[in-house]
Amino acid sequence: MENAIVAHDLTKHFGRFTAVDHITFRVPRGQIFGFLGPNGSGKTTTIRILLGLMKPTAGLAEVLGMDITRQPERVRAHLGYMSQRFSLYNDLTVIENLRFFGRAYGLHGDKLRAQIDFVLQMAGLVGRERQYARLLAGGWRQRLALGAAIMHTPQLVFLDEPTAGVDPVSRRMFWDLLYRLTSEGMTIFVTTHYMDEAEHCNQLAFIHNGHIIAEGTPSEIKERMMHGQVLELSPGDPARAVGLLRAAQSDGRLQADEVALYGLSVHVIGADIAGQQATILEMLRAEGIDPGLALLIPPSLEDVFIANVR
Amino acid sequence: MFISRTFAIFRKEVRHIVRDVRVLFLVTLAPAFLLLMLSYVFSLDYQHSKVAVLDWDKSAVSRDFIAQITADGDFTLKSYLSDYAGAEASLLAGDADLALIIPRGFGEDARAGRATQLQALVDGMNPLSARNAIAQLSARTSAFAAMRLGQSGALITLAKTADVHGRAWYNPAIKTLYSMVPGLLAVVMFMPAMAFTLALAREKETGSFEGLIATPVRGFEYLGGKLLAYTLAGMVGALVATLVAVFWFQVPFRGDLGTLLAMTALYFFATMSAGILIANFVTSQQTAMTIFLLAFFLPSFFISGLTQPINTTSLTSMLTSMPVPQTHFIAIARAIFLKGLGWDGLWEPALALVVLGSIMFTAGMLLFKKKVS
Repeated sequence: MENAIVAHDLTKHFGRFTAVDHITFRVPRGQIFGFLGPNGSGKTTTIRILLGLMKPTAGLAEVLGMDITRQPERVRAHLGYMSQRFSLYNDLTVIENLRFFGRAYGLHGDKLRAQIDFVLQMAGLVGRERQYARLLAGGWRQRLALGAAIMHTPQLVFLDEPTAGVDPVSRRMFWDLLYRLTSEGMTIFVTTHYMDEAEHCNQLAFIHNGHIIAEGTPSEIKERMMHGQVLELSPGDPARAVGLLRAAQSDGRLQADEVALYGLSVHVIGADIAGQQATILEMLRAEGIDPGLALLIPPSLEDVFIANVR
Repeated sequence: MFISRTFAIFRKEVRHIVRDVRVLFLVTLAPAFLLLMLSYVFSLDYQHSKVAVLDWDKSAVSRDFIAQITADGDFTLKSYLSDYAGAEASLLAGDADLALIIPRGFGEDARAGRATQLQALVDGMNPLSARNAIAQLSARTSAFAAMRLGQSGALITLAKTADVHGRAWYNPAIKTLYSMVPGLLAVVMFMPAMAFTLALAREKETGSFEGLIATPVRGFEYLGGKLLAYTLAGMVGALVATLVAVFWFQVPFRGDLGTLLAMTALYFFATMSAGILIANFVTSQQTAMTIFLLAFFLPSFFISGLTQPINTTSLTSMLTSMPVPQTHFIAIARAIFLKGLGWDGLWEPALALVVLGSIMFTAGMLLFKKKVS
């Protein structure tokens, strides 16, 4: 069995609203599978179906080789889940949370103690055992939640936006943890809307309005879906520069698919941007904006995603 | 597996209860507080009336009479008056709730067995408490005539007519307090079940429930562990409320404390099962609380036999009263307190609690699927 998840034509209706619309994908074992999409695109619904918490309206979901809709309890013993809403108990201490979730997963005695030690080590929580969960900073809480979700060494773990609201250093540490877990054979299904994180995944699927609009490795997706060039500008007044270029785009003076603001820089995306580079710079200078450094760069996943979602 | 997971939930819940001051209060102390308040509201004869006395007689009998009516503390002797104007003034000023006028010749007449009359003046502003003060005074007057003078209780009458209760076997002092407090004790013990229902709703509200449903913990393990924790904590609340009834209100406790606590556990089972049923339909603590109060607190006062006896001959009143757990627990609590009944005398209402609880628990469990909305 090389796939941890095989989803075929999964569909979920809520009344007249279709949250998930005939999606098909595979998650190979031992990999980090990134499930990307804007809020409300169907990510959490898909996870709930795959956990057996919700029945799909139509379609098939095979999780760890078993039909999740038929044997949810059996499959669930091998699954971990870290929900989007923080699912630890704030009024319990670190060790109490771990003991509770360990027991909930049926661990006891030496096995329970060993797993608690493992998680404390892994999450860097040694010495903080007696701290209340509510007093932990974001990064610690998130690692504790991950630890609680994998106490029973599941084969497959679902992480629903695990890094939302966590600082970059903690995010980095968290991803290092995920790599360690996959190297030990665990499969990780993670949703995120941080595109820099998506680049770290082995496999990706983009979901938008309940449809999967792209699937593959990060580089495959970039090649397949990005038929264009990206020009990065660092103008003095980025917001006004975007406004100007968008105006030029709409009245035809600029042939571009997308003009987007990226922090302090501006990306202009289109089929032939290299040929128009001089025009673009001239347009900005004419309005008194210093275009700064202009570089043709390889597209990031974010460029791809934004270009395809519009 | 089943035992250890249930126990894990139980331990976690006990920690939640002990660490959240509001929940701890709601379960252990709030019932006693509510009992204190409601008892004063509902026991109209339980009040300390201040009495001003205008004693024209000034005899040994009249002094003995005054000493008798103020002996148990329900009437406090506030002042002696010298004329009618003083009586009126002290009532108007609120110094006294009742002015008692003893006529000249009262002692002589009473000892000789001639009918005699006392006059009581009350402030009519609060008719209910006025009527009660008169009723109490009237009862004491008869008692005085009978016990101290060996005369008929009808010898001395009050110049204000008031109903005098008949002598009740289990409640010799005719205090409604004695039957009201155990009944109210039963009513206020809905609070642990309310806290339990709130806890169910809270886990849905905060999202911690979502982390839990992905674990192998099954519905009945989850509910069972929680129910056990709240029953245990509720026992503390029941104990505190019982202490208040016995030591503060001095309600005689003729039964067995163990029996009362065991019956309380059955009552918790019935009310918490109702909570499970309710929790299936709500997602917020506020809704849960509103439904709980409407379904449990309010009906307690009207259909469960607390304030008026249930009309056992009317099918409608039986149909409305019997499915309510309070009805049975009020009967149980009163019987244990005042009659000292044990299991043999209480098996009927106890069985009713078990049956009601089992029905609601089963229904609640069937509806309670581990699911997310």
